[in-house]
Amino acid sequence: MSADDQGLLAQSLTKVFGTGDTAVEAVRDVSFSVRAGEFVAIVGPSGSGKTTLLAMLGGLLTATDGRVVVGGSDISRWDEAQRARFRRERVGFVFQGFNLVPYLTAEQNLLVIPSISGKVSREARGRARQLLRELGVEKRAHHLPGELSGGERQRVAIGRALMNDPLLVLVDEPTSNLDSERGNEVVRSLAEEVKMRNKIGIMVTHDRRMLAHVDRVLEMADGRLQSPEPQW
Amino acid sequence: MLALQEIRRKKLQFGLISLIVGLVVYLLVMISALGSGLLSAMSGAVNSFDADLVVFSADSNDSFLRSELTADQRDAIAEVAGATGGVGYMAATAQEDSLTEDVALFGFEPGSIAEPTVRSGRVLAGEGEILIDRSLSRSSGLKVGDQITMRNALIDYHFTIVGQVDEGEFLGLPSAYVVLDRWRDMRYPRHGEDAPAASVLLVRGHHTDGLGARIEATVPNTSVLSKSDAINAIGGVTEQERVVMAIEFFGFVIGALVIGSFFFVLTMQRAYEVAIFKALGASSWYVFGQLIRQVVAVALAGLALGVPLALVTEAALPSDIPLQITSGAFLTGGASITIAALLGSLFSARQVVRVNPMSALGQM
Repeated sequence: MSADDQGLLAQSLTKVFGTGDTAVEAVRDVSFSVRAGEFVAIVGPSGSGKTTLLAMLGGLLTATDGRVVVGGSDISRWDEAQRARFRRERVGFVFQGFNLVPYLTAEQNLLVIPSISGKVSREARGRARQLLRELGVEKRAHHLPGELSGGERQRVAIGRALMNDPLLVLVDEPTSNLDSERGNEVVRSLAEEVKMRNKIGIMVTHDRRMLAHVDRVLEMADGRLQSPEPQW
Repeated sequence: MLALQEIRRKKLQFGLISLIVGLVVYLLVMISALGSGLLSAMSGAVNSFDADLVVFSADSNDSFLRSELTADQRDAIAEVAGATGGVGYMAATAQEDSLTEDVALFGFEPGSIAEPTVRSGRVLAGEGEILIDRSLSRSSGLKVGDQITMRNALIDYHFTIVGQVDEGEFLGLPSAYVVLDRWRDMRYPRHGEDAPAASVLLVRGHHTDGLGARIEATVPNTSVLSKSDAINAIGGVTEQERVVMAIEFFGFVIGALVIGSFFFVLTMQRAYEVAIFKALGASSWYVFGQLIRQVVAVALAGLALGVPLALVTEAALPSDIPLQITSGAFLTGGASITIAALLGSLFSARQVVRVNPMSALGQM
């Protein structure tokens, strides 16, 4: 198993929570790779370890064992400061649910990204504008998340994930708060962005209707990856 | 930018915190102002002396009430020290019609460094004239041009008020000033030439280092104190300052805890938002920096609220409450609030560091 310098490689990833008798193995010996420009779904019942896996890929959690290589860097042994920097510079997250900062407008939510990296430049403002336009929510730029529909919120969240021009786009249950039509639309635009911008796209979902938009499906159960290419 | 956006969107929340901070500032300024007011009522007139050193007689235990300097001592000190001025002190009772008022009566030689600054009216030109302090005109209603009688040892002394000064009170009594010779007559009614010439002697000079010791060495039976030591030697002043400082300390501690708790609660309430920021890659420093900006904004808003409130209170309070709002009072209030806010945000800093970015994923 290998990944080129632009891709993602997960090797024997294992995550154990707790110790001794109370230890829970959330993810066990998971290996796979994703190329840049590829949009991959991880499916499985709740509690199967999908989100834990996603968190390790995005540098939110450290692996108990195994390694994660993204764009040529092994992030699995980095400390929190290094991982924070990795997240801020190379990862775009679309979290589950309403994860926008409630007191900031749609545009300001996008500007959070350059703000935490240091400075909100004129270029950053231009980029935020352009992303909102591309995602069809330009007219809602100055509205607070509470004033947006579920679909609009999810689009703003996608815009935020793309603000830092990341290597890796990680999406957690993007349709959980949307009806199926809106969900379809959102996932389709995510897939388009990943293709167009040559990102590594990984989406965790339990919604099998969304799998039409992805290149590959990884199925998880009980912390393990089932067959690398399951049959549908 | 983002930190101030949050304040803009949460006006009520931040408004209430600013109000609390403002009230704490107000409390601290008022405590400090009452402290200086109290100190001023005890020693304002001494503090107004244009002097670096105060010479007492050695056997007086550095008391203005008991100190007595002879003419010989006065002349000997003047020889060593240069610019000097004798001050006589006694308690007297001013009487006029229905008015009876205890007064701290000072005697001075016109033209010496002991002469108080006349704010309205004119300087003393004779033994029948008196200067009254603003504190006396405020408490008694006396004004320039009025006649008053001072009684001591069954003898009445009549004076015309020719001017008003702003020197402050002494031992809680409003002060008045007469020429030193008249004070001597009043204080020692049947005196001969050997009566004390003054209570204390004020000394002013650029090079007072060692001057006190030199005076004590060359002039027998003298005790030389710096002006601030002379103030602290006034009975009760040191104890009073300690009490005021203790009250200020408790006010500060409680204020710091209140403000600190508010920021702590505020930080707890937005643990989820902090988790989003951290999941997106914000360092704890970044989140803390945003918090500090908010703390500074709230502290400034609190000062903008508390300081005018204190000034309004000063204007509205009756004059018999010893309240003196000094720049020191604002400094105490402002510095305390800054420190309190910083301590408060330190509480919150720990909280910020603890927030697990994983909670942004809706897990754990």
